[in-house]
Amino acid sequence: MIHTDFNWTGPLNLMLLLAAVALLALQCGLLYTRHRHSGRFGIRLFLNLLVWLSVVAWIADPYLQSGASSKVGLLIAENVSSGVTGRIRDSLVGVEVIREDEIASRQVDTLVIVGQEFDDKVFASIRQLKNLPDLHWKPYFAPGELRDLHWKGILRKGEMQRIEGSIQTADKKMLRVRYAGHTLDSVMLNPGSNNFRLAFPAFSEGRTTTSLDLDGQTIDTLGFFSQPGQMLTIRFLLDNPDFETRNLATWLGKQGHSVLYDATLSKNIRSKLNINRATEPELIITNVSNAVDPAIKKAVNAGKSVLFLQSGDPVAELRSINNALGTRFQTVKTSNDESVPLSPSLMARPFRFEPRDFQVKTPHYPVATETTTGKIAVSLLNETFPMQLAGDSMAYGRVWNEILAYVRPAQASVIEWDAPVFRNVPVKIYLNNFQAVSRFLTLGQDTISTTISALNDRSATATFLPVQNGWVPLHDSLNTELYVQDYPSLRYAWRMQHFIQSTQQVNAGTRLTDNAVSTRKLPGWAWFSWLMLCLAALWIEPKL
Amino acid sequence: MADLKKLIKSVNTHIQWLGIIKSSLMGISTQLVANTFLPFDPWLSPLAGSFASLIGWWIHKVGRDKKDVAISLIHNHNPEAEYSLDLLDRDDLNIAEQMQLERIGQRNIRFTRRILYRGMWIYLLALVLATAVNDGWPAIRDRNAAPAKAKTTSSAESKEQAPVMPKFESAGVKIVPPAYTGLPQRKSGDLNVSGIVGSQIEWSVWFDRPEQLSVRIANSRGEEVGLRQINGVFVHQDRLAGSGLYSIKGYWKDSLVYQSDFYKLEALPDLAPRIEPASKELYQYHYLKDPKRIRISAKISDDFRVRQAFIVATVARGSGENVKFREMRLPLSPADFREANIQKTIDLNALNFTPGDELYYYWAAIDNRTPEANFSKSDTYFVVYKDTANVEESELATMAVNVMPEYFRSQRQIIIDTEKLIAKRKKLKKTEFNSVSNEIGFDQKVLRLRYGQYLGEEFETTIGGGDNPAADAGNIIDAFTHHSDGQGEGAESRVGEPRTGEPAHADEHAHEHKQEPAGEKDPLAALMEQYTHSHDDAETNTFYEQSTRSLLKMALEQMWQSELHLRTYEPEKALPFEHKALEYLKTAQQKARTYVKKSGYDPPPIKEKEKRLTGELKELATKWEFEKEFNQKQTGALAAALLGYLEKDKLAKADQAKLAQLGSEMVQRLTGSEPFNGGLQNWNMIAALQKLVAGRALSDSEMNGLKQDLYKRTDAALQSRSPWLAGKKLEAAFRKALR
Repeated sequence: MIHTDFNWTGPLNLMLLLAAVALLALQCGLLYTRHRHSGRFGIRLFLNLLVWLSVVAWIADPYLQSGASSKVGLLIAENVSSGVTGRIRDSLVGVEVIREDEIASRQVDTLVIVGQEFDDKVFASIRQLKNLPDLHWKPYFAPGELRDLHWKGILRKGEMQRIEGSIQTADKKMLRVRYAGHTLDSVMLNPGSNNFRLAFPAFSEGRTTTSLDLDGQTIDTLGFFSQPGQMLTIRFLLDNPDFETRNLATWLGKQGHSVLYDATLSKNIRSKLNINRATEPELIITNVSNAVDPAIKKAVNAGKSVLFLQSGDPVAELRSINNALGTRFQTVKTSNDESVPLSPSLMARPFRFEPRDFQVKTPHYPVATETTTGKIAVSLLNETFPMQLAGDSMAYGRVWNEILAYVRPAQASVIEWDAPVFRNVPVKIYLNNFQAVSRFLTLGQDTISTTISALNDRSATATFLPVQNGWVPLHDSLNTELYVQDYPSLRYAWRMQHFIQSTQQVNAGTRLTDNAVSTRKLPGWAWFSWLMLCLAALWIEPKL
Repeated sequence: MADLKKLIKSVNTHIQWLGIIKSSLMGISTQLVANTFLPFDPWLSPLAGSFASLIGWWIHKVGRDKKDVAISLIHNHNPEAEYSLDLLDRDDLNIAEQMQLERIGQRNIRFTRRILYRGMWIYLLALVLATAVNDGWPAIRDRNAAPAKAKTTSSAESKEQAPVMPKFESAGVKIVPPAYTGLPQRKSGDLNVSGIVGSQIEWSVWFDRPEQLSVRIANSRGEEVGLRQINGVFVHQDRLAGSGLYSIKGYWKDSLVYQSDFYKLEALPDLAPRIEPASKELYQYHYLKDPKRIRISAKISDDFRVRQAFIVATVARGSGENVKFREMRLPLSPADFREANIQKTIDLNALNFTPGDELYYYWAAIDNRTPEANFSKSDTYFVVYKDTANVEESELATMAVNVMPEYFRSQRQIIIDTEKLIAKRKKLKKTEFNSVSNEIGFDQKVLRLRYGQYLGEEFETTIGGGDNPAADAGNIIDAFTHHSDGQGEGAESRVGEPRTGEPAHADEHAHEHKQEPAGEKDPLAALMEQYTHSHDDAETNTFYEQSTRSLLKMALEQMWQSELHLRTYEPEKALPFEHKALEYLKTAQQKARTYVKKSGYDPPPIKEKEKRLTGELKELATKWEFEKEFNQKQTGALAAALLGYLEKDKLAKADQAKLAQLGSEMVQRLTGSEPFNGGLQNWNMIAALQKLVAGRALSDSEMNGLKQDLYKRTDAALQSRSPWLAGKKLEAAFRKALR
C-alpha cells in the first residue's frame, strides 16, 4: 500500500496544494490558448500533466508500506574479536551486518548487538528509529576482563565488604583484593569462567580505595565509603556481679560503647555502674533467670536486643527463655564432657543449636540469635575473661566483636547503594529506618527526590544519575560520599544493560498496536532526476 | 716621494684606529658605570655604552680623512719636512714646488708614533675608574644598606626587599662522643644523629638571610628549643640523653618559613663490661688433699675500656646461727684495658680456708664510663671445703639449703642404738635394759609421727597409740625437746601415769568448734580452725606422687612394728622392722628430691544458694552508683579514622586540624610504645605521620607505607552487619505468615 504522511490540514500545506492546482490551471490554460492548433497538442498535454503529477507526488512524498518481513541486523562493537563475530554471523541466517552510521538508514526488525563499546550516538540513533527493533544484546568481554563486579558502595566500619563478580581466565590465576599492597582477601581462579566472591571487614572510616589484582596486575580499583561504627548503649541486668560481665562491661566501655552495669549485690542492695554516660539501652545482657523480667519483655517489644549469657543447664534455661519470650531455641547435647574447647583458651557448653527459622548462628561461636520484634541471642560460651587475663585481648575482641555484630539491633538511618557507580548510568540509593525520610536528597550539586516504599514505610529509594567521575558528597552529618567509578569495560556493559532494559520497557508498551511493517520511500536523488527528466522532456519536445 | 706618501697614509690610518679605540674605551667605561648604578634594566647600560661610543666617534671624527691632521703632526715634529708635505696632494706643481718635493723626498723623514698616544691615558684612567666603581660599589652599598634601612624605610626600597623570604641553605651536625670513649668527633650533613649517650651534639643551620630569623629545633611532641645565631649561623649544642625525632623550623617575622623533615635522634647505650668466666662449674667441692691454690680465669671485655676488674670473695664459716662471713675484694691486674684474659690464683691458705668452710666468689668489672661507670658481675661460684670428719653436720652448717630435716636420718640411729642395746644386754640390769628399750621405742614413735605428718597423719590420736603432746600447746617442737618440768617427751614417756585432761581434750579436738564458742579462742586461730579441718587425710596430700606416698606408708608400718617390739622390750624382734623401715625411707628419699611440708588446705564446699545474701546488712549503703568514662580512643579506632583522611586530596581546614590532632596522638602512642611493640622502630611511620600533621604532601611510597602500617593497627574485624528494618506490623505479619 502506498501511504503518505502529508498533512492535509496544515494551512501552509493547503496553500501549497492550492498553488499546485493553480499551476495545473495555468498549464492547461496556456496550453489551450497557445498550442491548440499545433499538431502535437495531445503529447504536450500529456507531458504537462506528467510534470504536474510528478510535482504533486513530490510534495505528497508517498511511501510504500509492506507487511512484516523479518529482517535481522547485526551491530558489532569494534573491540569484538573477529572469531566471535564470525561465529555469531554464521549462526544467524540471513543477517545483515550494520555499521554504526547505518543504523538510521538500515531499518531492521531485530537488532543483535554484539559487544558494548559503542559511541553514545549509537544509542541515540537506535532510539530515534521510527520502529524500534527488537534488541538482543550479546555481551563481549576479552579474557581476563571482569564481566561483572558488585560490592557495597557504603557500609559501616566493621561490616563485611563483599566483592562478587565473574571473570574469564585462560589459566590458573590468583585474584586478590589489596589495600596499599596488603592483601585483604584472595581467591584462586581456575581456567574458564569463574564467579568469585571476596570478603573483608571494613577497617577504615571514610573514603577507602582498594584494588583488585589479577596475578599482581591491578585490573580495577574499588572505592567505597565506610561510615564510622555506631556505638551501642548496653545494659547489664544481673543477679550478681561477676568477673566475666564486669570485664566485658569494661571492654565495651573502652571500645566506646556506653554501658549500664546493673547488679544485685545483696538483698535490697544494687550496684549501678554507668560507663560513658549511658542512657536508653539498645542491648541488654543478662542471665537466664531474668528472662521473665518485664523490663526485658518491654525491651524486646520495643525492638531492642537481648543477650543471655552463662548457661548452666542450657536445656532447661532455653525452655524458660522460649516460654518467656516466645522464641524457639533448641539445643542438642554434643558431648558428655562438662565443657568443650573451641580454642585453647575458650570453652563452651557441650551443646549445639538446632537450626530453626528466623534464627541465625554466629559462624565461629555457639551463639544463636532469633529475630522477633527485637533480637534475642543466647550464648553457650563459658567464661571468656581468661583469654584477656592470659594477655590475648585480640582473641577476646574477636569473640565479642562477632557476637555483637549478630546481636546488634537495627539502628537509625541506613543508607545503601551498590557499587560500582558509573557516570551516565543511574544508581539506585536505598534508605531505611530514617527518623523521617526526607523528600529530597542532595548529591553533589544535584537534588533528587525519594520515593517511599508503598509496603514498608521505613524504606525509600532514590535514583541518581551521576555526571562526573570521583567522589560525590551527600552533605550529611557523616560526610558520606558516593564514588563514581571509571572502569571502561564495565561501564560500557552497565550502560548497555541499562539501555536494553529501558528499550524493553518502551517496546512492551507499544508492541500491541504497532504491527511489524517496513516502509520504503523514493530517495531524494530519484525524485530530482525524475523531475529533471520530465522538465527536460517538456523543454525538448517543441524543438523536435 | 712615495715613502712620504706612505708615511702620511700610515699615520692617517693609525690616527683613525686610535679614534676607534678611544671611543670604544669611552663606551666601555660609560657602560660599566651605568651598569653599576642602573642594575635593574639589562638594556639600559649597553644603550648608555653605545651612546657614549657614538659620542666618542663623533668627537674623534672617526671615519673622516685625517690626512691634514697627520701632515700637520709630521710637520710639527719633523722640521725637516719644512711644512711642504701639503705639496704632495697638489696635481699641478710648478718647478719650485717640484724641486722642494724632491728635496724633502731625499731626506729621511721619520715620525715617532708614540706622539699619537698622547692623551690616551685619560681614556685608560676612565676605564680603570669605571671598573673600580663597578666592582666596589655593591660592597659599599650593601655595607650602608642595613643602617640606612634601619634609619628610614624608604618606601621604594622596602617594597623590593620585603617579599624576599630567607631560604634554607644547609645544615650540619657535629657529634662529639664523650671523651672516655676515645671515638673521633664526626661532622656530617645528614641530620639523622646516632651516637653514644652523653655525646655532645652541635647543630649548625645556615640560611641565606639570617636577619629577623629565629630557628628552632622541635621534637615530635612539638616542644621547641631556639638556636643561637652566631655570625649568621644558627647553632645549638646539647648532650644526647635519649632517642627521639626532631625537625628544624625557621620562623621569620613570626611566620613559619621553613620546616625540615623529621630526623632520627638515636642514643646508643654504653654497654656494661662483659665477663665470660672460663669455668662453667658453679659449685665444686674442695677436698683435704686438693691443692690449696685455685687458678681461675675469665675473659673480660667492654665496648670501650674496662677500668678495673676484681673478684669479690666471701668465706663463710660456722654452722647453724653461728655463721660468719668475711668478704674480700681482690683487685685484678691489668687495669684499664679493652679486652683481656685475666687469670687469678686464689690462695686458700691466705684466706684461712678450713674444712667445713665455704668460699663464694664472683667476678666483677667496671668500665670507664663517666660520670657513673657501668658495673657488671658474673655468676657466683661456690667452693665447699668437704669436712670429711663431720659430713652430716657440715652439710647442715653450710649456707646451702639443707633439703632434709634432721629427723629423716635418725632411723639409722635407732638401728645403731638398738644394736648397741642388744650388745650390752648382758651387762645391763633388766629394768635399765627395758627403760632404754622403751626410750628407743619412743624415739621410733617420734620419728614415725614426724613422717606421719608428711602423710597428713598429724595427730596420733587419730592413728592410734599414745597422745601427741603437740596437740596441747600447738608447738610441735615442744614434743621433741626435753623439758625438765615434766612436759614434753619426758612426761609422755611416763606411760603408766594416769592422765586426766588430755584424752578428753583429744576427743574434744575431734569435734572442736561446736562446743567452744569462737570468741573465747585466739581469733586468728579460731578463724583458721574453721577452715583447717582436713587433717588425717593422707589422700589430700598431693605433694608426693603415689609411689612415694605408698613407700612412706610402708615405712610407717614398719616403724609401728618396731616400736611395738621396742616397747615390749624385744629389741631383737624390732631390728628387722627397723632395717626394713630404713630401706623404705632411703628409697623414698631417693625418689622425692625435696620434701615440702604440707601447708595448703582444702576448704569445704560452700553451699552458695543457702549462704548467699544471708549476711548482716547493718551499716551498708543500699545504693552503689558509680560513673566511669573512657575518653581515650583505642588505637584501632584512631588508625581507622586516620585512614579515612589519607584518601582525600584536599583537606578543609577543620579536617586538617582534626587530622593533625589524630596524627600527633598516634605519633605519641607510637613513640611511647615499648620496644616490644616497635617503639622508635616505627620511625618511618612516625616520620610520615609527622609530615601529614604538618600538612605536607607524602610521596606515593610513603603514603603506601603509612597506609599499610595503619592498616595493621586497625581492629579489622566483623563488628556489625547491615541492618534493615521494616514497620513492626509488617514484620510481625511476615513472621506470622511464614510460621
